[in-house]
Amino acid sequence: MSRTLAIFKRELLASFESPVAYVTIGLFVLVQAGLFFYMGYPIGPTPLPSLWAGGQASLIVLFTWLPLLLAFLVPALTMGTWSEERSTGTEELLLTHPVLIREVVLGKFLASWVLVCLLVTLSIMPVAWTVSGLGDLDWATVWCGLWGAFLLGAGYVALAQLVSALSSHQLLAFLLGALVLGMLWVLRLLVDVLPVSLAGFVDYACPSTHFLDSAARGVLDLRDGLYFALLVVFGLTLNALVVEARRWK
Amino acid sequence: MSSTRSSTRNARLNMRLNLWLTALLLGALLVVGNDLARQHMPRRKDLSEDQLYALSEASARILSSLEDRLQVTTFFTGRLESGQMALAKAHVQGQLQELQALAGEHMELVALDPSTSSQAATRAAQLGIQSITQESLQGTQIVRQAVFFGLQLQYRGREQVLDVVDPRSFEVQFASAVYSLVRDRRARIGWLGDWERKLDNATTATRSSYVTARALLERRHSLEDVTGLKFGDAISSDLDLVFVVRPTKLHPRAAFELDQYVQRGGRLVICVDQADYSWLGLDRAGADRGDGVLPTGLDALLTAWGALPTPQHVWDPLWAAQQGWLRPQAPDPETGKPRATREICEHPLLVEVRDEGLDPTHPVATALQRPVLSWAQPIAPLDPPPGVTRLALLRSSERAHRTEIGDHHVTDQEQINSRSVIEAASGSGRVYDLAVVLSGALPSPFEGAAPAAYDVLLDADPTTTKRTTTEKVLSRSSDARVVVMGDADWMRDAGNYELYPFIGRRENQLLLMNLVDWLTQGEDLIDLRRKVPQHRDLVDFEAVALEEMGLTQLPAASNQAELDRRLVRAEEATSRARSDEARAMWVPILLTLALVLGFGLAWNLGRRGGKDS
Repeated sequence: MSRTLAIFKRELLASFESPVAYVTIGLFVLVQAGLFFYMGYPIGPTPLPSLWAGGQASLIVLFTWLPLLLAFLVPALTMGTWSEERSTGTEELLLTHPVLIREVVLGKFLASWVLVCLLVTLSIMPVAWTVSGLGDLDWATVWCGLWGAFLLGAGYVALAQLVSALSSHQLLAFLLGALVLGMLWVLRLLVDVLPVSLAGFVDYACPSTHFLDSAARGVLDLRDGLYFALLVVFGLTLNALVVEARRWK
Repeated sequence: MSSTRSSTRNARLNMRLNLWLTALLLGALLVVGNDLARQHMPRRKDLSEDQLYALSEASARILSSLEDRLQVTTFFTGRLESGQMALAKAHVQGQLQELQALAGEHMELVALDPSTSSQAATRAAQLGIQSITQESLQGTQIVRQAVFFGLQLQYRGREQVLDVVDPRSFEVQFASAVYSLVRDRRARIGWLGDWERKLDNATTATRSSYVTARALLERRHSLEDVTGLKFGDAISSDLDLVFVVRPTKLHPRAAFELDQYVQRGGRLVICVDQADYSWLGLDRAGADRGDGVLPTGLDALLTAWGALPTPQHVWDPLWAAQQGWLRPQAPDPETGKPRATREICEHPLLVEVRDEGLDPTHPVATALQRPVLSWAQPIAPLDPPPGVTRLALLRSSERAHRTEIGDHHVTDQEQINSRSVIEAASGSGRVYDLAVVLSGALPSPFEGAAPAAYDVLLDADPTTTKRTTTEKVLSRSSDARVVVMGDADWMRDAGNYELYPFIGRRENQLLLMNLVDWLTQGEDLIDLRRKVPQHRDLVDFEAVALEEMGLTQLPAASNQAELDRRLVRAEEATSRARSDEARAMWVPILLTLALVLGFGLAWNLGRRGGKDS
């Protein structure tokens, strides 16, 4: 565990040394706020108005954008997790250290997840603060939504990190990661087009369903917790196996 | 050498196989684990203030009143073509399971599929459960499917049928039906007033019809017309409640009968609308115009009770609702088909009553969401008689004004806005009561002199009489509940060219149902309807700026120069509001960005300093 923590610390501190993290955070906060205040959410069968057009103190628009924005942001943050190590040759060095691969995978996952949580918090809380000054905001829904966003972030990080482990270049890792997460997001829009036998399954398989239908509305559901936990276990175990397989090459 | 290569190859193959097998196993675990959780782990907690996603306490109370077994038979199509419909069905089934868990052994679920069983189809048809056509997109084709989505509830030999389930309000639908089954008595409601559209030559010509409101009432209650009052026919005491809708020139004897019905314990809702449509010229040209006001015939009664609507309209620019209509145009010259243009404006004569205008202590209002009164008349601020409590159920905003009947022909948005600005600048805005509730021992204005019934031979004027009788008159004899509303349009049907829905608006339907439930003692049902999102309005920066600059509650402007000065200040207030709005939005965001940037600089400079030293 101490080795996991050491890797976690190293990865997290490395993130703060790179200007990429600050630029990403800054852009994400600005884009989220801009979409929320001025654009609303025009996608899908039930578009949502912007804050001023809707006239209601609610963060639902902000939360609704989150699965799509994170589908691009998380791969951007995690693209280098393994692919950079691989392309610069530090992966081999890392694997020769007396650490278990699962400890490395977990340490890297925790570092990326904490960064995503920080980013999500920084993008949601100032807006929540603004809205609570403008109207009667339901803070319980905000906290619940924030928690749900953390879970969504965990699922996304696990998958994006797996994609990074499978890719040899950062750019490829980003593109593939964004494609995978984007596809998962799109699935929810296709429910009415897919064969009905698939609709329920696809809807349930979609990470955004487990965020938007519950936590984003102020509902804590055990099933969502289990879904994201299984998704993380799935992503991290495969991640460890992929890296392990490379060790044997 | 070759055996080493071979063993390495085998190890790689094993590793790859191991990887794929683990991936498959994990994938299977993901699917099976989630499927099991979906079916057997419905544990969720709604932490939001609105509690929209948890079963309400009212549902629990209603279900706990079940003493025998309630059988719920679902008539749902099993194989659906639309994915959205399948999700809606799963949602309703999930809610049914939660309700069953709440009811325990007192509820039994039976599932029938009329689309595959002819027996079930026959039974659905007997119950009036019809299929609805559902469209879905499959590939590039639109697929239409006849879908059954109804329920039958049976309890102690009685039954209720929900012919089409609404997934969004299923809990309310279901619990209301259970409530009716357990209660075993439909409230009896009387209706006094014209309810069909009439366009005759009399001055009482009306554009109003109330078919939808009556249908809503008939769906859950027994509805009957109250007639013959002016001839001395008393209102049956079996009626739980009487609606008096747009009373016009009621005979004094009719007013007396209404008063005595209330004195005997009856409940009353009076919806006053004194605007004479023929005077407005909306119905027919060349009509004999009076002063624009149609007397109700209830003035004496309502004055005695302390709730007399004033024959004027409320102009409320702050809570203006949208008004839409189709303006007929000349027919198409080529096809000859009739044409119309769609016009919409925010009209201050349509008052959308916000939370501040709803009495938070009253059961009818606490569960209400922004009803809209149209061309409402303010109720005069009279002191209620001793022993009577008058409570303002619905009120206008503090920026409302009174305007004469007939002033509502202005439909151009710019004209409306400039008129609102001028009126705001001229001051005198105030809150007006639009609906009041009277409770307590109401005095009768007919004590000692009951009006005689109309007699064709003795009375020249069919709308009044000077003759009285010496019959016994009840006064202050019961704990009355009377609601007086300064508007009847809120419950009327939309006219031919009107896009504005009146009773078609869900909030107005809620007002109607809440009034009925409160007056007929069905308050559990009002609690059920509280499951709607609360309005959480944002700060109106313009109103705040106007107030801060002292531009509200002003006395009327004494001259044109004063009015112009106020208009200039009103414009200043508007621009100040815009900048306040931008500041409120962006300051926290920019502060956060500055914090992130500052942290990044400090962190990296600190690290660099550490490395250098």
